[in-house]
Amino acid sequence: MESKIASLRKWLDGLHEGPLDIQDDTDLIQSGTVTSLQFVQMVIEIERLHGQKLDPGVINIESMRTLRAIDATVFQAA
Amino acid sequence: MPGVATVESPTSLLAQPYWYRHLPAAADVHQLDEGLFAVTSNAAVQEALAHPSIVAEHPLKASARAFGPNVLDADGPSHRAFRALLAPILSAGRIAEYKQALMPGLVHDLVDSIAGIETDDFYNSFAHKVPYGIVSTILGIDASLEDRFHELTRPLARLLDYPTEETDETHANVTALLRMIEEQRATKTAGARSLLETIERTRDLKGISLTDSEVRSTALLFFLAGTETSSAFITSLVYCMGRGIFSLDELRDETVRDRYVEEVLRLYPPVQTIVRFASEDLIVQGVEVPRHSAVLASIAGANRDPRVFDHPDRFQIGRSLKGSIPFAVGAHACPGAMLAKAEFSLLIEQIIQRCSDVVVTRDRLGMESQSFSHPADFSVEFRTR
Repeated sequence: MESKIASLRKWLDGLHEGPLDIQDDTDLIQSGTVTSLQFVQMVIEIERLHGQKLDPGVINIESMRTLRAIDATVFQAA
Repeated sequence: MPGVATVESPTSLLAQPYWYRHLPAAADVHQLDEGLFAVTSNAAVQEALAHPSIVAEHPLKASARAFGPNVLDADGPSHRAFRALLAPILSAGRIAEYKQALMPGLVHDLVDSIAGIETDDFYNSFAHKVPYGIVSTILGIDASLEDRFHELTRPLARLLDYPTEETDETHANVTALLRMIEEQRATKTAGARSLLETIERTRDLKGISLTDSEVRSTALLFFLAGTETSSAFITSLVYCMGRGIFSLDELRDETVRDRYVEEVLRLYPPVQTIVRFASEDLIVQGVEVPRHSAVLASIAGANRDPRVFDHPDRFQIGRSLKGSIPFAVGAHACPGAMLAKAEFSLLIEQIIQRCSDVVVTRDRLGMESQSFSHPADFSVEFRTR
Protein backbone atom coordinates (compact mmCIF):
# COMPACT_ATOMS: atom_id res chain seq x y z
CA MET A 1 0.00 0.00 0.00
CA GLU A 2 1.21 3.44 -0.91
CA SER A 3 2.52 5.51 1.99
CA LYS A 4 0.60 8.57 3.04
CA ILE A 5 3.45 10.87 2.06
CA ALA A 6 3.61 9.23 -1.40
CA SER A 7 -0.13 9.82 -1.75
CA LEU A 8 0.31 13.45 -0.77
CA ARG A 9 3.11 13.82 -3.30
CA LYS A 10 0.81 12.41 -5.99
CA TRP A 11 -1.95 14.83 -4.93
CA LEU A 12 0.46 17.76 -5.20
CA ASP A 13 1.53 16.54 -8.66
CA GLY A 14 -2.12 16.56 -9.66
CA LEU A 15 -2.35 20.29 -8.99
CA HIS A 16 -0.11 20.98 -11.95
CA GLU A 17 -0.33 20.17 -15.63
CA GLY A 18 3.38 19.61 -16.15
CA PRO A 19 5.72 17.34 -14.18
CA LEU A 20 6.89 18.68 -10.83
CA ASP A 21 10.19 18.21 -9.08
CA ILE A 22 9.20 18.18 -5.43
CA GLN A 23 12.09 17.21 -3.20
CA ASP A 24 11.55 16.17 0.40
CA ASP A 25 12.88 19.56 1.49
CA THR A 26 11.19 21.76 -1.16
CA ASP A 27 9.38 24.69 0.46
CA LEU A 28 5.88 23.96 -0.82
CA ILE A 29 4.53 27.50 -0.72
CA GLN A 30 7.70 29.45 -1.47
CA SER A 31 8.32 27.25 -4.54
CA GLY A 32 4.79 27.83 -5.85
CA THR A 33 3.90 24.14 -5.57
CA VAL A 34 0.90 25.20 -3.50
CA THR A 35 -0.73 28.58 -4.10
CA SER A 36 -2.61 30.74 -1.63
CA LEU A 37 -5.82 29.24 -3.00
CA GLN A 38 -4.56 25.69 -2.55
CA PHE A 39 -2.94 25.59 0.88
CA VAL A 40 -6.29 25.05 2.61
CA GLN A 41 -6.94 22.18 0.21
CA MET A 42 -3.55 20.73 1.11
CA VAL A 43 -4.42 20.85 4.81
CA ILE A 44 -7.76 19.15 4.07
CA GLU A 45 -5.97 16.48 2.02
CA ILE A 46 -3.38 15.89 4.74
CA GLU A 47 -6.18 15.44 7.27
CA ARG A 48 -7.99 13.03 4.92
CA LEU A 49 -4.85 10.94 4.42
CA HIS A 50 -4.07 11.09 8.13
CA GLY A 51 -7.51 9.68 8.85
CA GLN A 52 -8.18 11.81 11.87
CA LYS A 53 -8.72 15.42 12.84
CA LEU A 54 -5.50 17.43 12.91
CA ASP A 55 -4.68 19.13 16.16
CA PRO A 56 -4.75 22.91 15.33
CA GLY A 57 -1.29 23.25 16.85
CA VAL A 58 0.09 20.87 14.25
CA ILE A 59 -0.81 23.25 11.43
CA ASN A 60 1.98 25.77 11.50
CA ILE A 61 4.50 27.19 9.09
CA GLU A 62 7.30 24.78 9.97
CA SER A 63 5.25 21.58 10.09
CA MET A 64 3.65 22.32 6.72
CA ARG A 65 6.71 23.76 4.99
CA THR A 66 8.04 20.58 3.30
CA LEU A 67 7.00 16.99 2.64
CA ARG A 68 9.63 15.85 5.13
CA ALA A 69 8.19 18.09 7.85
CA ILE A 70 4.61 16.98 7.12
CA ASP A 71 5.64 13.33 7.27
CA ALA A 72 7.49 13.78 10.56
CA THR A 73 4.97 15.96 12.39
CA VAL A 74 1.73 14.48 11.06
CA PHE A 75 1.98 11.03 9.48
CA GLN A 76 4.83 9.54 11.51
CA ALA A 77 3.80 11.23 14.75
CA ALA A 78 0.45 9.45 14.84
CA MET B 1 -27.36 24.23 -0.78
CA PRO B 2 -24.47 26.43 -1.86
CA GLY B 3 -24.81 28.31 -5.08
CA VAL B 4 -23.14 26.75 -8.09
CA ALA B 5 -20.11 28.71 -9.14
CA THR B 6 -19.32 29.64 -12.69
CA VAL B 7 -17.17 27.53 -14.97
CA GLU B 8 -14.32 29.97 -14.41
CA SER B 9 -11.44 28.86 -12.22
CA PRO B 10 -11.43 30.51 -8.79
CA THR B 11 -8.20 32.29 -9.68
CA SER B 12 -9.60 33.98 -12.78
CA LEU B 13 -12.93 34.67 -11.07
CA LEU B 14 -11.31 36.35 -8.06
CA ALA B 15 -9.01 38.42 -10.25
CA GLN B 16 -12.04 40.40 -11.37
CA PRO B 17 -12.84 43.47 -9.26
CA TYR B 18 -16.56 42.73 -9.09
CA TRP B 19 -16.20 38.95 -8.90
CA TYR B 20 -19.32 38.50 -6.78
CA ARG B 21 -21.44 39.59 -9.77
CA HIS B 22 -20.42 36.43 -11.62
CA LEU B 23 -21.96 34.17 -8.97
CA PRO B 24 -25.65 33.23 -8.78
CA ALA B 25 -27.45 36.21 -7.25
CA ALA B 26 -30.01 34.05 -5.49
CA ALA B 27 -27.41 32.32 -3.30
CA ASP B 28 -25.68 33.83 -0.27
CA VAL B 29 -22.84 31.35 0.00
CA HIS B 30 -21.00 29.79 -2.93
CA GLN B 31 -18.58 26.89 -3.02
CA LEU B 32 -15.89 27.86 -5.53
CA ASP B 33 -13.75 24.78 -5.02
CA GLU B 34 -12.93 22.21 -2.38
CA GLY B 35 -12.19 24.18 0.78
CA LEU B 36 -13.00 27.52 -0.85
CA PHE B 37 -16.24 29.37 -0.15
CA ALA B 38 -17.41 32.85 -1.06
CA VAL B 39 -20.06 34.73 0.87
CA THR B 40 -21.61 37.59 -1.03
CA SER B 41 -24.92 38.70 0.45
CA ASN B 42 -25.04 41.34 3.16
CA ALA B 43 -26.48 38.94 5.74
CA ALA B 44 -23.98 36.19 4.96
CA VAL B 45 -20.98 38.53 5.03
CA GLN B 46 -22.03 40.01 8.36
CA GLU B 47 -22.63 36.53 9.77
CA ALA B 48 -19.27 35.25 8.53
CA LEU B 49 -17.27 38.21 9.83
CA ALA B 50 -18.85 37.99 13.27
CA HIS B 51 -18.82 34.17 13.47
CA PRO B 52 -16.68 33.04 16.43
CA SER B 53 -15.41 29.99 14.54
CA ILE B 54 -14.51 31.83 11.35
CA VAL B 55 -11.07 33.12 12.19
CA ALA B 56 -8.43 35.38 10.72
CA GLU B 57 -5.49 33.28 11.74
CA HIS B 58 -3.97 30.78 9.36
CA PRO B 59 -0.25 30.18 9.67
CA LEU B 60 0.16 29.52 5.96
CA LYS B 61 -1.29 32.90 4.93
CA ALA B 62 1.22 35.10 3.14
CA SER B 63 0.78 37.95 5.63
CA ALA B 64 1.27 35.63 8.61
CA ARG B 65 4.42 34.19 7.06
CA ALA B 66 5.74 37.61 6.03
CA PHE B 67 4.98 39.59 9.16
CA GLY B 68 4.88 36.89 11.85
CA PRO B 69 2.22 37.16 14.57
CA ASN B 70 0.34 40.38 13.93
CA VAL B 71 -2.94 42.23 14.49
CA LEU B 72 -4.50 41.21 11.16
CA ASP B 73 -3.85 37.50 11.54
CA ALA B 74 -4.55 36.97 15.23
CA ASP B 75 -7.76 36.06 17.03
CA GLY B 76 -9.07 36.05 20.59
CA PRO B 77 -6.88 37.33 23.44
CA SER B 78 -3.85 37.73 21.22
CA HIS B 79 -5.84 39.91 18.81
CA ARG B 80 -7.23 41.99 21.66
CA ALA B 81 -3.68 42.55 22.93
CA PHE B 82 -2.58 43.84 19.54
CA ARG B 83 -5.63 46.13 19.34
CA ALA B 84 -4.93 47.49 22.81
CA LEU B 85 -1.54 48.67 21.54
CA LEU B 86 -3.20 50.79 18.86
CA ALA B 87 -6.08 52.13 20.95
CA PRO B 88 -4.32 55.15 22.52
CA ILE B 89 -3.22 56.38 19.09
CA LEU B 90 -6.74 56.18 17.66
CA SER B 91 -8.76 57.66 20.54
CA ALA B 92 -11.32 60.41 19.78
CA GLY B 93 -9.19 62.98 21.62
CA ARG B 94 -6.09 62.12 19.64
CA ILE B 95 -8.01 62.23 16.34
CA ALA B 96 -9.31 65.71 17.24
CA GLU B 97 -5.69 66.77 17.75
CA TYR B 98 -4.62 65.32 14.41
CA LYS B 99 -7.53 67.12 12.74
CA GLN B 100 -6.47 70.40 14.30
CA ALA B 101 -2.70 70.27 14.09
CA LEU B 102 -1.53 67.60 11.68
CA MET B 103 -4.02 67.17 8.84
CA PRO B 104 -4.65 70.76 7.65
CA GLY B 105 -1.08 71.38 6.51
CA LEU B 106 -0.83 68.06 4.69
CA VAL B 107 -4.21 68.48 3.01
CA HIS B 108 -3.38 72.08 2.07
CA ASP B 109 -0.13 70.98 0.41
CA LEU B 110 -1.93 68.28 -1.56
CA VAL B 111 -4.70 70.59 -2.73
CA ASP B 112 -2.10 73.18 -3.63
CA SER B 113 -0.38 70.64 -5.87
CA ILE B 114 -3.55 69.50 -7.69
CA ALA B 115 -5.47 72.78 -8.07
CA GLY B 116 -5.53 73.80 -11.72
CA ILE B 117 -3.99 70.62 -13.12
CA GLU B 118 -5.14 67.55 -15.02
CA THR B 119 -3.58 64.21 -14.16
CA ASP B 120 -3.94 60.72 -15.58
CA ASP B 121 -2.35 59.05 -12.56
CA PHE B 122 -3.91 60.57 -9.47
CA TYR B 123 -3.46 57.38 -7.45
CA ASN B 124 0.29 57.05 -7.90
CA SER B 125 1.17 60.73 -8.02
CA PHE B 126 -1.07 62.33 -5.39
CA ALA B 127 -3.41 60.04 -3.45
CA HIS B 128 -0.76 58.78 -1.05
CA LYS B 129 0.58 62.14 0.08
CA VAL B 130 -1.88 62.89 2.90
CA PRO B 131 -2.16 59.33 4.28
CA TYR B 132 1.61 58.83 4.23
CA GLY B 133 2.16 62.19 5.92
CA ILE B 134 -0.37 61.39 8.64
CA VAL B 135 0.70 57.83 9.30
CA SER B 136 4.43 58.61 9.18
CA THR B 137 3.93 61.32 11.79
CA ILE B 138 1.76 59.10 13.98
CA LEU B 139 4.20 56.25 13.68
CA GLY B 140 7.10 58.54 14.49
CA ILE B 141 9.31 57.92 11.51
CA ASP B 142 11.55 60.58 10.09
CA ALA B 143 9.77 62.63 7.40
CA SER B 144 12.76 62.23 5.12
CA LEU B 145 12.03 58.49 4.95
CA GLU B 146 8.44 58.90 3.75
CA ASP B 147 9.19 58.42 0.07
CA ARG B 148 11.29 55.35 0.80
CA PHE B 149 8.48 53.88 2.91
CA HIS B 150 6.03 54.58 0.11
CA GLU B 151 8.23 52.85 -2.45
CA LEU B 152 8.63 49.79 -0.23
CA THR B 153 5.11 49.42 1.16
CA ARG B 154 3.04 49.80 -2.00
CA PRO B 155 3.93 46.35 -3.45
CA LEU B 156 3.08 44.79 -0.08
CA ALA B 157 -0.62 45.41 -0.66
CA ARG B 158 -0.53 42.28 -2.83
CA LEU B 159 0.47 40.22 0.19
CA LEU B 160 -2.96 40.93 1.63
CA ASP B 161 -4.78 40.03 -1.58
CA TYR B 162 -6.44 36.68 -2.08
CA PRO B 163 -5.17 35.05 -4.23
CA THR B 164 -1.91 36.42 -2.93
CA GLU B 165 0.85 37.82 -5.07
CA GLU B 166 4.03 36.93 -3.26
CA THR B 167 7.38 37.65 -4.85
CA ASP B 168 11.04 38.05 -3.95
CA GLU B 169 10.37 41.79 -4.00
CA THR B 170 7.65 41.59 -1.33
CA HIS B 171 9.88 39.48 0.91
CA ALA B 172 12.79 41.87 0.47
CA ASN B 173 10.59 44.90 1.10
CA VAL B 174 9.20 43.49 4.35
CA THR B 175 12.74 42.81 5.58
CA ALA B 176 13.89 46.32 4.60
CA LEU B 177 10.89 48.01 6.24
CA LEU B 178 11.20 46.06 9.49
CA ARG B 179 14.88 47.01 9.59
CA MET B 180 14.04 50.69 9.03
CA ILE B 181 11.41 50.60 11.76
CA GLU B 182 13.88 48.99 14.14
CA GLU B 183 16.45 51.66 13.33
CA GLN B 184 13.87 54.38 14.01
CA ARG B 185 12.88 52.70 17.24
CA ALA B 186 16.51 52.42 18.36
CA THR B 187 17.18 56.13 17.84
CA LYS B 188 14.39 56.97 20.34
CA THR B 189 13.72 60.17 18.40
CA ALA B 190 10.10 59.35 17.60
CA GLY B 191 8.71 61.25 20.57
CA ALA B 192 6.64 60.02 23.50
CA ARG B 193 3.35 60.34 21.61
CA SER B 194 4.42 58.41 18.53
CA LEU B 195 3.02 54.98 17.77
CA LEU B 196 6.38 53.30 18.28
CA GLU B 197 6.79 54.79 21.75
CA THR B 198 3.10 54.35 22.63
CA ILE B 199 3.14 50.69 21.65
CA GLU B 200 6.11 50.06 23.92
CA ARG B 201 4.61 52.04 26.80
CA THR B 202 1.19 50.34 26.47
CA ARG B 203 2.82 46.94 26.30
CA ASP B 204 4.75 47.58 29.50
CA LEU B 205 1.82 49.28 31.25
CA LYS B 206 -0.69 46.55 30.50
CA GLY B 207 1.74 43.70 30.78
CA ILE B 208 1.00 42.60 27.23
CA SER B 209 3.32 39.83 26.22
CA LEU B 210 4.67 40.71 22.80
CA THR B 211 8.16 40.35 21.47
CA ASP B 212 10.04 43.27 19.92
CA SER B 213 9.57 41.63 16.56
CA GLU B 214 5.79 41.51 17.05
CA VAL B 215 5.84 45.19 17.98
CA ARG B 216 7.68 46.01 14.77
CA SER B 217 5.25 43.92 12.70
CA THR B 218 2.30 45.68 14.32
CA ALA B 219 3.82 49.05 13.47
CA LEU B 220 4.43 47.99 9.87
CA LEU B 221 0.92 46.67 9.40
CA PHE B 222 -0.52 49.84 10.92
CA PHE B 223 1.53 51.73 8.38
CA LEU B 224 0.43 49.55 5.46
CA ALA B 225 -3.24 49.47 6.42
CA GLY B 226 -3.38 53.16 7.31
CA THR B 227 -1.74 54.39 4.15
CA GLU B 228 -2.83 52.06 1.37
CA THR B 229 -6.51 51.90 2.30
CA SER B 230 -6.72 55.68 2.50
CA SER B 231 -4.73 56.22 -0.71
CA ALA B 232 -7.14 53.90 -2.51
CA PHE B 233 -10.20 55.51 -1.01
CA ILE B 234 -9.06 59.10 -1.69
CA THR B 235 -8.76 58.03 -5.34
CA SER B 236 -12.38 56.80 -5.20
CA LEU B 237 -13.51 60.04 -3.55
CA VAL B 238 -11.94 62.17 -6.25
CA TYR B 239 -13.24 59.87 -8.98
CA CYS B 240 -16.80 60.20 -7.67
CA MET B 241 -16.43 63.99 -7.40
CA GLY B 242 -15.37 64.00 -11.04
CA ARG B 243 -18.16 61.74 -12.21
CA GLY B 244 -20.94 63.18 -10.07
CA ILE B 245 -23.76 65.24 -11.52
CA PHE B 246 -23.98 67.69 -8.67
CA SER B 247 -22.50 71.01 -7.72
CA LEU B 248 -19.41 70.78 -5.54
CA ASP B 249 -20.89 73.63 -3.52
CA GLU B 250 -23.38 71.16 -2.06
CA LEU B 251 -20.46 69.58 -0.22
CA ARG B 252 -19.85 72.74 1.80
CA ASP B 253 -22.53 71.52 4.17
CA GLU B 254 -20.80 69.20 6.64
CA THR B 255 -23.80 66.86 6.88
CA VAL B 256 -23.98 66.49 3.10
CA ARG B 257 -20.20 66.00 2.98
CA ASP B 258 -20.36 63.21 5.56
CA ARG B 259 -23.18 61.51 3.66
CA TYR B 260 -21.18 61.85 0.47
CA VAL B 261 -18.19 60.12 2.08
CA GLU B 262 -20.43 57.36 3.42
CA GLU B 263 -21.98 56.73 0.02
CA VAL B 264 -18.58 56.55 -1.66
CA LEU B 265 -17.48 54.15 1.10
CA ARG B 266 -20.51 51.97 0.37
CA LEU B 267 -19.82 51.84 -3.36
CA TYR B 268 -16.01 51.74 -3.21
CA PRO B 269 -14.90 50.13 0.03
CA PRO B 270 -11.10 50.11 -0.19
CA VAL B 271 -10.98 46.53 1.06
CA GLN B 272 -13.39 44.62 -1.16
CA THR B 273 -12.65 41.05 -0.11
CA ILE B 274 -11.66 39.67 3.28
CA VAL B 275 -10.34 36.15 3.71
CA ARG B 276 -11.12 34.11 6.82
CA PHE B 277 -10.88 30.42 7.73
CA ALA B 278 -13.31 27.94 9.25
CA SER B 279 -11.74 26.63 12.44
CA GLU B 280 -14.34 23.86 12.68
CA ASP B 281 -17.23 22.45 10.65
CA LEU B 282 -19.89 25.15 10.63
CA ILE B 283 -22.91 26.57 8.84
CA VAL B 284 -23.30 29.99 7.23
CA GLN B 285 -26.79 30.94 6.06
CA GLY B 286 -27.69 27.27 6.00
CA VAL B 287 -24.66 26.17 3.97
CA GLU B 288 -22.20 23.69 5.47
CA VAL B 289 -18.61 24.91 5.48
CA PRO B 290 -16.06 22.21 6.41
CA ARG B 291 -13.24 23.03 8.82
CA HIS B 292 -10.01 24.42 7.33
CA SER B 293 -11.96 26.00 4.45
CA ALA B 294 -11.13 29.52 3.30
CA VAL B 295 -14.14 31.83 3.50
CA LEU B 296 -14.00 34.88 1.22
CA ALA B 297 -16.28 37.64 2.49
CA SER B 298 -17.18 40.12 -0.24
CA ILE B 299 -17.56 43.55 1.35
CA ALA B 300 -18.23 44.89 -2.15
CA GLY B 301 -21.07 42.41 -2.59
CA ALA B 302 -22.52 43.13 0.85
CA ASN B 303 -22.50 46.86 0.16
CA ARG B 304 -24.34 46.43 -3.13
CA ASP B 305 -26.83 43.81 -1.99
CA PRO B 306 -30.19 44.68 -3.64
CA ARG B 307 -32.01 43.15 -0.67
CA VAL B 308 -30.54 45.88 1.52
CA PHE B 309 -30.01 48.82 -0.85
CA ASP B 310 -32.48 49.93 -3.53
CA HIS B 311 -30.73 50.41 -6.87
CA PRO B 312 -27.46 49.36 -5.20
CA ASP B 313 -25.17 50.45 -8.05
CA ARG B 314 -26.62 53.94 -8.11
CA PHE B 315 -24.70 56.75 -6.41
CA GLN B 316 -27.26 58.34 -4.15
CA ILE B 317 -26.26 60.72 -1.37
CA GLY B 318 -28.60 60.63 1.59
CA ARG B 319 -29.84 57.05 1.25
CA SER B 320 -30.12 54.90 4.37
CA LEU B 321 -26.75 53.34 4.95
CA LYS B 322 -27.90 50.76 7.45
CA GLY B 323 -26.08 47.62 6.43
CA SER B 324 -23.16 49.40 4.75
CA ILE B 325 -19.98 47.85 6.15
CA PRO B 326 -16.98 49.45 4.42
CA PHE B 327 -14.82 49.00 7.51
CA ALA B 328 -16.04 45.40 8.08
CA VAL B 329 -17.72 44.23 11.27
CA GLY B 330 -16.80 42.04 14.20
CA ALA B 331 -13.60 41.89 16.18
CA HIS B 332 -11.48 42.79 13.16
CA ALA B 333 -13.44 45.89 12.10
CA CYS B 334 -11.04 48.67 11.07
CA PRO B 335 -9.84 50.55 14.17
CA GLY B 336 -8.84 53.56 12.06
CA ALA B 337 -12.31 54.32 10.64
CA MET B 338 -12.81 57.59 12.55
CA LEU B 339 -9.33 58.81 11.70
CA ALA B 340 -9.90 58.03 8.04
CA LYS B 341 -13.27 59.78 7.90
CA ALA B 342 -11.81 62.92 9.50
CA GLU B 343 -9.09 62.91 6.85
CA PHE B 344 -11.54 62.46 3.97
CA SER B 345 -13.91 65.18 5.15
CA LEU B 346 -11.11 67.70 5.52
CA LEU B 347 -9.77 66.85 2.08
CA ILE B 348 -13.14 67.46 0.41
CA GLU B 349 -13.58 70.70 2.33
CA GLN B 350 -10.30 72.06 1.03
CA ILE B 351 -10.79 70.82 -2.53
CA ILE B 352 -14.11 72.65 -2.82
CA GLN B 353 -12.60 75.82 -1.41
CA ARG B 354 -10.03 75.87 -4.19
CA CYS B 355 -11.87 74.17 -7.06
CA SER B 356 -15.09 75.03 -8.82
CA ASP B 357 -15.18 71.71 -10.67
CA VAL B 358 -13.54 68.33 -10.51
CA VAL B 359 -14.01 66.63 -13.85
CA VAL B 360 -13.14 63.12 -14.97
CA THR B 361 -11.95 63.84 -18.51
CA ARG B 362 -11.08 60.27 -19.53
CA ASP B 363 -12.45 57.08 -18.05
CA ARG B 364 -11.65 53.52 -19.05
CA LEU B 365 -13.79 52.27 -16.13
CA GLY B 366 -10.90 50.27 -14.65
CA MET B 367 -10.75 48.97 -11.10
CA GLU B 368 -7.49 48.06 -9.43
CA SER B 369 -6.73 45.39 -6.87
CA GLN B 370 -8.83 43.49 -4.37
CA SER B 371 -7.15 44.35 -1.09
CA PHE B 372 -6.90 48.06 -1.69
CA SER B 373 -9.36 48.73 -4.41
CA HIS B 374 -9.85 51.94 -6.36
CA PRO B 375 -10.90 53.20 -9.79
CA ALA B 376 -8.02 53.12 -12.25
CA ASP B 377 -7.13 54.31 -15.72
CA PHE B 378 -8.91 57.65 -15.62
CA SER B 379 -7.86 61.28 -15.94
CA VAL B 380 -9.15 64.00 -13.70
CA GLU B 381 -8.97 67.77 -13.90
CA PHE B 382 -9.18 70.09 -10.89
CA ARG B 383 -10.51 73.42 -12.20
CA THR B 384 -9.84 76.36 -9.92
CA ARG B 385 -12.35 78.99 -8.90
